[in-house]
Amino acid sequence: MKRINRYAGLSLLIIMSFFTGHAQQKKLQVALGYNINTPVGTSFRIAVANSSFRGANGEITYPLNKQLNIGLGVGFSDFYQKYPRQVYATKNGDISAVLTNSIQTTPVLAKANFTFVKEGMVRPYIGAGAGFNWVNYSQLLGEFPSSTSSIHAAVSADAGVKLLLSKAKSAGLNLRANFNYLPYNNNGIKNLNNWGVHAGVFFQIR
Amino acid sequence: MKKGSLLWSVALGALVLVFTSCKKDPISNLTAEESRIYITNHDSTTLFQSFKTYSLVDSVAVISNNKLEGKLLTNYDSEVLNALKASMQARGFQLVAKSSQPDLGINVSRVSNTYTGVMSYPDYWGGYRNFYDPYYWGYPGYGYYSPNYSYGVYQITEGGLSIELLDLKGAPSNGNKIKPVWTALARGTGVFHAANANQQVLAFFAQSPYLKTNN
Repeated sequence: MKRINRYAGLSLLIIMSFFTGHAQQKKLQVALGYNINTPVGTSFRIAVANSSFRGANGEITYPLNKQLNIGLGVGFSDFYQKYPRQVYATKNGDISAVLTNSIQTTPVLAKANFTFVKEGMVRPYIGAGAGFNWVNYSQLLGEFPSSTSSIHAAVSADAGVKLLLSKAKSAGLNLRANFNYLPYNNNGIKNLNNWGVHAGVFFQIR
Repeated sequence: MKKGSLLWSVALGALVLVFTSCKKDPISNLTAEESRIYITNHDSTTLFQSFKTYSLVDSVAVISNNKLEGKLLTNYDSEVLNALKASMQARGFQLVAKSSQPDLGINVSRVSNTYTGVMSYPDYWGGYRNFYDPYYWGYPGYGYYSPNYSYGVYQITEGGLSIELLDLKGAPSNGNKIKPVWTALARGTGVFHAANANQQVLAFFAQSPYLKTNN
């Protein structure tokens, strides 16, 4: 619990300083988009091997200068897999069931993005984020669920390109690949690490 | 905090809510057959080969909200009892009248609890078995033995079919207790449909290969 509070507190501090300290001086940039994420790691892939096609991501960033933006990012991925009916052994018996694992990750990250070029319509960039990850995990035997929610640390690394479509409004398309390092420890799942691809838009808001 | 910052904080919160509502609903992606679970437990110290004969209740106890509503023999109940007879015969057990001192007795219950909550299988076991008076099995004044082995715990919000095999032969040497040696529980959508009765009983026996004797 102390660790969760530390991560949450650190993230909140960064977010608050971002909003209160700089928002009045330069234009904020919003990015919204669609994610596809694929589980990485044996324990996660045993639970869910399928990629998540129900993913989204949103960011609000503030330009410190022409190359460096900092801000806040929120992501969502829904990992789901249904296994055919099978008999599972218990201590003194057996359960025959169709087993479903349903895992939702919602990382909330303080983010920094570095653009390699100051001008131009094509702007490759790299980014990193750190914060916390809100996880909902449900395992269903047939229609009977067992669910837990918990908060864990989260770190991400991105590499992508922004394609500027409107120079005046600084708006365009955003394409990137990312890796999410998401520690977790529940029901044999050691982490929820995943890599993903993202396509979206970005624009300035003020 | 500035008004604009507050606005964006609210917007971010809304974004989180939108994201989390995008989850695929696991239950709506199950067929009725996939929704059902079949749980069997047994006393690991019991040698089922030591039992040769059994008797079966002639009706099914209907329990609603922890209250015995009566004992019925509907089409569904008949299907369950017939499926039990077929499966027990296939495993070598001989059906005899209860007056012929059978080694095993079989109780069958339909349980429908309409409340929502967490209900553990030990509670389930301990509660409903007692709706059958031990007198029925020819043991007036006896009680039911409470097993000390553990069971799975599941969230239960609907009804289920419960079957229990009782050790009648060993009752006198078990301190006047009738000991359940095998239980089966089916839960899920369509569990009380007559068309599913045979399949449910077959599932119970398929996952209990130890439940057999040599007659």
